[in-house]
Amino acid sequence: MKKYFSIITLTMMSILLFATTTIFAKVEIGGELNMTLSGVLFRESESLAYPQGSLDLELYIPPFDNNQIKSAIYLYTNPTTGKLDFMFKKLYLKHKFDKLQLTVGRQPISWSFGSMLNPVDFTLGSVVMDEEAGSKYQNAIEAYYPLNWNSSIAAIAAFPNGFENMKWGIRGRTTLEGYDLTLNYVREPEENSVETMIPVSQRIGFSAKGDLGPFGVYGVIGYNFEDINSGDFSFLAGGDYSYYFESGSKIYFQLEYLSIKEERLSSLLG
Amino acid sequence: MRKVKGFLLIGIIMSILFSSLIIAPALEMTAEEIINMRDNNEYFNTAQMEAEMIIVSGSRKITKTMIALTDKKNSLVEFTNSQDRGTKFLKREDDLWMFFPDAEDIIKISGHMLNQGMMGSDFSYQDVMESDKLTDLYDFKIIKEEDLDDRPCYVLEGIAREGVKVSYYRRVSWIEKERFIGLKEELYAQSGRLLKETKVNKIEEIEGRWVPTDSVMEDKLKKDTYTEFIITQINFNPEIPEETFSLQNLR
Repeated sequence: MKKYFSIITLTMMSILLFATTTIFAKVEIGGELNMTLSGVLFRESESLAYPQGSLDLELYIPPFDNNQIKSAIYLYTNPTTGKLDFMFKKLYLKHKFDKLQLTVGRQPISWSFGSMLNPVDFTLGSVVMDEEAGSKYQNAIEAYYPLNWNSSIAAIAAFPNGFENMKWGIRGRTTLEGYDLTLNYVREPEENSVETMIPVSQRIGFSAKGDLGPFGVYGVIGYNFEDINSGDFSFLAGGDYSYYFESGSKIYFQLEYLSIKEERLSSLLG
Repeated sequence: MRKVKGFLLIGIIMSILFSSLIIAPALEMTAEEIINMRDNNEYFNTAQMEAEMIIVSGSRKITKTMIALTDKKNSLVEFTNSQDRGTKFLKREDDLWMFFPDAEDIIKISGHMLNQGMMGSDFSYQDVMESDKLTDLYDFKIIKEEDLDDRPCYVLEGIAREGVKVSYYRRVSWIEKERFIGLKEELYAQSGRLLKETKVNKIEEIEGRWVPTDSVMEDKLKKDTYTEFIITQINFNPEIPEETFSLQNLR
C-alpha cells in the first residue's frame, strides 16, 4: 500500500451568533459563539472530525457615577486537551475623576497603532498580523491623564506573574499636523524559572502614523537597553494603499520593513 | 358686475406682479447660490441625534443604531446596538479616530482604511469626513431643471477644482426649488463611471427647518447593496461641552 496520503481539511461548519439578553434592569449579557467542525480525510483510510468551539461572553453594566465595570470571559475548547477552558479578558473597574481616568483589574493593554508588528508594544507579540494573543490581557492598574483634546499620558503597572514582579510602562500620545505620535517606555522585571533566567529589560520607543497623499504611512524607532551602557535599535517602517478598479474590485497593499536583533524576533511574533 | 371684474383683474395683475417678484430672484440664482442655500438649510451649529443605519446586502439586513453629537467641524458618534456597542468615532476637522471596544484601543483612521465602508455600510469613512464647503471644492453649474418625484428641481453639476483633494471628481445634485433640499446626488469618477448614488426618501420639518430624515446611499460598484440612514430623533443647537470632541472622551 502506498504510504502517501493526502489530507484535506475542511471547515464544515462555522456558526457565528451574537445575542444579548437583559438580565435585570439595564444589565445585559451578550456574546459571540463560534463553532467549527474541521474534518481530516485520509486517502484509503478513515476520516477524523474535530469539533471546536469558543464563546466570547460579555456582561454589559451601564456606567454609573463616573464608574464603569466591564467583564468579558472567553470560553473555548482547548485544542491540546480537548476540554473546556476559559480566560478572563476583562474584569475591571474604571473611574473617571475630573482630570484622571483610573482602571484597575484585568484589562486589554496594547499600544498598537495599525501596524502588523509593533516592536515597542507594552507586551511584545500581543497583536501580530491583526491577530491578538492572550498576552494582551493583563492584571494591571492604568492611570490615564489627558493634557488636552489630543494629548495624554498613560502610566501602567502590570502584574503578569503575580504581585512580586511588577512590569510598568508610560506612554505619551499627541497629534501633530495630522500625525498620531507616541513616545513610550517599558520596564519588564527579571524572570526566573528552572530552565531560564531573563534579566530586567527596558525599551523606549517612538511611533508615528498618518497620511502622505493617498498613502497611509507609519513608523517606529525603538531602543532596547541591554544594560546602562549598551543596547540595540529596532526600526519599523510601513505603508498601506488601496486602489479601486471601476469593476468594483480593489487591491490593498500593506508593506512593512522591520529591522530588529534576531533573538528579539521570536518574542515579537508571540 | 363690472366692478367685480375690475377687482378680479387688479387681483390677478397684483398676484402676477408679486409672484414674479418672488420667482425672479430664484430664476436668476447662480449654481453657487443654490448650493449655499441648500447648505444653509441642511447645516447647523450643533446637533444631537439618534439614528439608525440599515445595511442591506442581498437578502441580508443589518441594523445599527447610534447617537451622535456634532458641531460645524467635529462629530462624536457612538454605536448603541448590541453587536457594536461602545464603538465610537471622533471626527476633528480632517482627522478621524475610532475606539475599538474589544481592544479598548484608539486608532487613527488613515491610509487605505479611509476608503473602506464605515462599519460595513455603503458610506466610506472618506464620505463622512467631508466637511469643507462644497463650493470651495467644486465648480458648480446648473445643467437643467426637471421634476424628481413630482418636485421641481434644479440639477447642478459640480466638477472638482484643480488641485483640491476630493473623493469624487464629479457630482450631480437634484435640489428642490421650493425648499432648497438636496433630493438626490450622483457621484462620479473622473472616467465618468457612476460610483455612488444617494437619494432622500423622507423630509420632515423639525424645529422650523426641513431635514432629510430618511436617505439611501448606494455604492454602485457593489452588487445588491444599499445603506439606509434614518434619523429617529434630532435636537438642534444643544449645548455641547468643549471637551466632548476629545480623544479622552472616546475611551
